[in-house]
Amino acid sequence: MVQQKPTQVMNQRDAILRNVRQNQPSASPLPEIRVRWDREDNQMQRFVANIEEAGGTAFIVAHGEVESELAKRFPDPSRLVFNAYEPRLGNVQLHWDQNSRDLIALDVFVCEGLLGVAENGAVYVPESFMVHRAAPFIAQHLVLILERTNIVPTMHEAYARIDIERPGYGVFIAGPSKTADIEQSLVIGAHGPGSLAVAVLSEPA
Amino acid sequence: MDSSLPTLPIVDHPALAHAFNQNEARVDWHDGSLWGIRKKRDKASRSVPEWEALRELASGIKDHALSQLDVYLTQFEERALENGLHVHWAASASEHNRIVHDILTQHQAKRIVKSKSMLTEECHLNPYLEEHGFEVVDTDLGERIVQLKGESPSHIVLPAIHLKKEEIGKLFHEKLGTKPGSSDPQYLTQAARTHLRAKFLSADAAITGVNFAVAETGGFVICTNEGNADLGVHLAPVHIACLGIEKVIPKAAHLGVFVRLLARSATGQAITVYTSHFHRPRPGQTMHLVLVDNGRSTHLGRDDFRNALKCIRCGACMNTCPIYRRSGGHSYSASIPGPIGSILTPGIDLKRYGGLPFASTLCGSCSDVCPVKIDIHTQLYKWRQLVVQSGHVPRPKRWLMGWAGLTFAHARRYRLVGWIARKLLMMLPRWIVYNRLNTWGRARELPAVPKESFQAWYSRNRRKS
Repeated sequence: MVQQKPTQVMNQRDAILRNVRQNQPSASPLPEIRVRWDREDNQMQRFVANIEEAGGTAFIVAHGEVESELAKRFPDPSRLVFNAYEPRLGNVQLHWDQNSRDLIALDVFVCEGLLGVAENGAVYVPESFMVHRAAPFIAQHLVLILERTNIVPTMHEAYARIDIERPGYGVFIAGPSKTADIEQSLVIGAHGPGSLAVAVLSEPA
Repeated sequence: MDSSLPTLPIVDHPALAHAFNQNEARVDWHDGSLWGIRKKRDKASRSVPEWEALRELASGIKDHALSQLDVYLTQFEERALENGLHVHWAASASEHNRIVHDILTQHQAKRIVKSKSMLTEECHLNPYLEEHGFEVVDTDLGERIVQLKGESPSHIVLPAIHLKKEEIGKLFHEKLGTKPGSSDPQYLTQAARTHLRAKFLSADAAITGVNFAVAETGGFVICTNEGNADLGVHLAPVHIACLGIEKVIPKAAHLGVFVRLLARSATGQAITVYTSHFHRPRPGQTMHLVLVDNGRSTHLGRDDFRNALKCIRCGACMNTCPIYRRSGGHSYSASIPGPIGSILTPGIDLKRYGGLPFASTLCGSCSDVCPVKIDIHTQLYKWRQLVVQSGHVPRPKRWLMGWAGLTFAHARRYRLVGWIARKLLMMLPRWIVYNRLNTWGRARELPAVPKESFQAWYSRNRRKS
């Protein structure tokens, strides 16, 4: 099997770009994004409704109540919980290069979200908040914690607020994982977590 | 066109559709499933008051991007290289396969997990890799199902939409050891989850597609509901992301427009469960991008057809198309079926896919639902002209169309033929009228024969002023 020689590589790239340059149409102007959002004051309601529509649960808590809410939802002490938001509330500590054997045992993963989007219930989590990129996907249950003031109306505001290229990886999470690939029957819990709970902090920490 | 590929037979959509239609109940079921998704899309689009403005924006952004594609491609590559990604360029499908092969060999990878990528379907990557001794596991549930069954996906978003749960249950019993006779979707999905978790954990490399590539940042976005793309790439030491060159959009801010349109158009969800943004590999991981041309730069030069490159692969056109709904994705024999497939594939091989633009009533529903405003039904019509001009039309049809052209070209001839036809239809017995050649009459009654033509009636009843 022949390794692609540098000249071959340049030839492919140059050939493609040359063909593109030759064939592309004359310049078409770039439209400006100016979308009007109906300025209703129910972003929180919308956010919660969309999370529930997607099969997740959302609840509003004061910062001090997070611990008790988590204990209520996950009372079983034998469950392995990694809490990246408040590590002392978990019973296991994972690192960014944790080996996968440890990861698969993870029952509950709790981490903070940077912002939430009202129109679809999505929560943006940059990799620095999740410690290990696989953690939000491999855990059986996911809990995301979000400041109430960080809920924006639409994806436009979200992309305006986030510096999307700062983290090497970031993800909008909008519900527990799911699939409808078997005769269009919705099944919650495909490959990712089977449940999502979003805790919205009513006062900042 | 890639000359290293063998000449493939002409796709006979009517014959394949006819075979699909032998089971009317099944067709009704297939039709109903897809129309249900169309209705979900409608509900979602109506919940966004600025929906049409978004479509216009998306269309405009893509038009602009395609008009300066060279600039955006080089910018994308520059940023990605700065971020520590490896960037490869593949002029053809076979080049793409060879590059992926090389990368895998370089990393001594044998076990591969792959999330949904229509591009890799187009390049026939799986059979190529399997031929060369790699294990490739498609991790999207629908794709895994068709992979285990030895079939190709029949829909770009819902690969197994053509299969019933009992068939999947039987398949999983054979291949995954699930309980015989079980068809409960929850149970079967759980079985697949366990089976695929093992694959994620033991993979040497993960291959993904790309939904959007951002020139401004050198990053790219992958949208899934299952989390399979992320599980694959975050656990494997190598991530290979394959994308067609038309996937590049100018700025990160543009993602707001496309992400708002994609899932709503595809399944009626406001957003997919996971919208993942990749800029740099995790420490210790290697990330490769494979940018693929495979006829796209040529298509870019086709004034009438270049709009098809705006496609964001949502599948809305398939969900709404009455032909697709009632003939199934496999009757198109193309990696991308349905209306969008029927305007892309003739560009790749006019002879093989020349029949596909005719697999349409030109109702225009596809163009209505397309989030990026591709003029699909207009292109279908224009492709027909090219197909006929190049002679790739079956002789009986060519003869019939020629005869019809002669008849309609002269008023007196047209009136005479009309008169003869009316007289014959009134005189001839039913069994002659509804003969084998009368394909229209196979499932329909011909309209009632009028006593006289409208022209005759009009001239008789016209009031003399």
